Amino acid sequence: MNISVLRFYFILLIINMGFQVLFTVCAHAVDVKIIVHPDVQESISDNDIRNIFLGKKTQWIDNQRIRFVLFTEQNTYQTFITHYVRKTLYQYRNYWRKKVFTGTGMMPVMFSKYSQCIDYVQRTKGAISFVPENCILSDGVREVTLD
Amino acid sequence: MIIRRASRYYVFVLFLIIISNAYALTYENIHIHGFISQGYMVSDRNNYLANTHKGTFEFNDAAINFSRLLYPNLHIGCQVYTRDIGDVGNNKLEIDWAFADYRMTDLIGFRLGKIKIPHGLYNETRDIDLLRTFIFLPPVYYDISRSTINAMNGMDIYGNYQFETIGNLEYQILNGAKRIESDSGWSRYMERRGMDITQFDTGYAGCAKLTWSPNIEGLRLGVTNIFFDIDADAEINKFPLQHMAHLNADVVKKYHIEGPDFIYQLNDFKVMVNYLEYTFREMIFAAEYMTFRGDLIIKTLAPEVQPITFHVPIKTDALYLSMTYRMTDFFEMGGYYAVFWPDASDKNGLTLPQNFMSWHKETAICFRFDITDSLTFKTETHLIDGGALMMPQDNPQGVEQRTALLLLKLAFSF
Repeated sequence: MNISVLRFYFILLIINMGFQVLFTVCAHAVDVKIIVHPDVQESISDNDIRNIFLGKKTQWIDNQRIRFVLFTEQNTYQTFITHYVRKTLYQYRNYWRKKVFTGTGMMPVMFSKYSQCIDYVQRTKGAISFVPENCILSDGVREVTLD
Repeated sequence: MIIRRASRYYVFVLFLIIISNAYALTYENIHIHGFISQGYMVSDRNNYLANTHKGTFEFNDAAINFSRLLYPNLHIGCQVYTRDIGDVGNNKLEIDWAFADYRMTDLIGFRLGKIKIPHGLYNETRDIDLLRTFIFLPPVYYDISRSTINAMNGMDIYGNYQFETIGNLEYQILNGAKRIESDSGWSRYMERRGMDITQFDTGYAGCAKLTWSPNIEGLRLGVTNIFFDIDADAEINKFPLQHMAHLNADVVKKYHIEGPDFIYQLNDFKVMVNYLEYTFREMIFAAEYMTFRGDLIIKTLAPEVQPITFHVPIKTDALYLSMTYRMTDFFEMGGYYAVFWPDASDKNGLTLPQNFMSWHKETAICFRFDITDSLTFKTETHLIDGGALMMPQDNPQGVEQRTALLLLKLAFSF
């Protein structure tokens, strides 16, 4: 009985992983723009983006405090987190929940409309966020090209 | 029904929260989060942690935390926690953590107050069902050790650095003092050895953690070390006779029957954990190896006989391998195999009357259902071989070698 439960579990696991490897799309098109406050002039790498959105990199080179905000529309959010932070959305949420429940961090600022993200980045020194690729940016923000 | 008053209360509160559809709260820039859970445990043979043979709802916990950002690099917060698991906790409120956190630069930050101890991969989140697949973490995080390694008062220095070539290094150094209650899980474990702890006096405690995330996607490796000294006042209710073989028979008899008061000191107590976690898409593989090392000194205090001092080396090892896999937003499954040896120099129990008391080998399978973002239900089966973590006081008829355990748990967080 017990061995059959174990066997069932592992067979299910292997079948599911097989399907994932076979059928998941390997490379998503990254349909997001990364935007920063115009004062941020330094070059930014993939690792910087990952560390910023994990709360590990908290300062720009000129010591300006980094303020990142999340745009929580499902597709853009998922695409950004998967591609740049290299976690699933579930893992990313849990990463911040862990910080909240251990006192080592606070939940990031989140907006459900990209206009709010743009507005926040425009108003806030050191701010960084991401928006859908097709959205039109105002003069008060700068789109970043990663190194 | 076995549901006790406290459990009924929790079920009721849980129900109220669920129907009220509560989410994270904010008041005057104070962020408020919390969780509440109610579980059920039943086992086929031994009682494990509680009166599980008949099934028990004495398995719940809850917490609420408050935090506020004072400046962009300074925040303060605290969490109040309560739990009941068998005889431990009994829903007393405790401050789980409370500190100020100042992040000066990426390389260095400071925390001051009561801080969770970063023991291994999951100690800091051991109470939060929402953040893990399993109901019971493996014995590296065994419940009796919670009071010893959960949190400590002191100062924490932490930071991280991104190296271009080798990846990211994170460190944490925590120094301070540790408080252990006399009715904690640790006392229950010592009771198992015939010692009734009346008071703990703990001095310096320290912890260091180093985590390396190399440039291999999803991999992190690390090591943590905890150091502390414990003095305890206690009474012996069953003396370990194997340590008294060289003594006069009258003295042995006196101690064995009446049980003297004594002090026990656990000097240079070190807990070391080496860990590895690898994440591949929805799958997380983890392995940890833990060693407890220390020198247990027992000094008798009976005035009518000459004091006697015993030295008992502590050499405890534990390890586990686990794998979890998230199939859909709704469903996740996981399993682990874990081993715990209270005396690693006698892994086969050759010096014990019942050899299986020298190990605890455990296989667990868990299914987790995320009913909503905030509400989870889990069901978990454990097959346990060995009696090293079975409490004789919970099993007065004697400990049996094998136990199957079924756990159910409903948890809500906001």
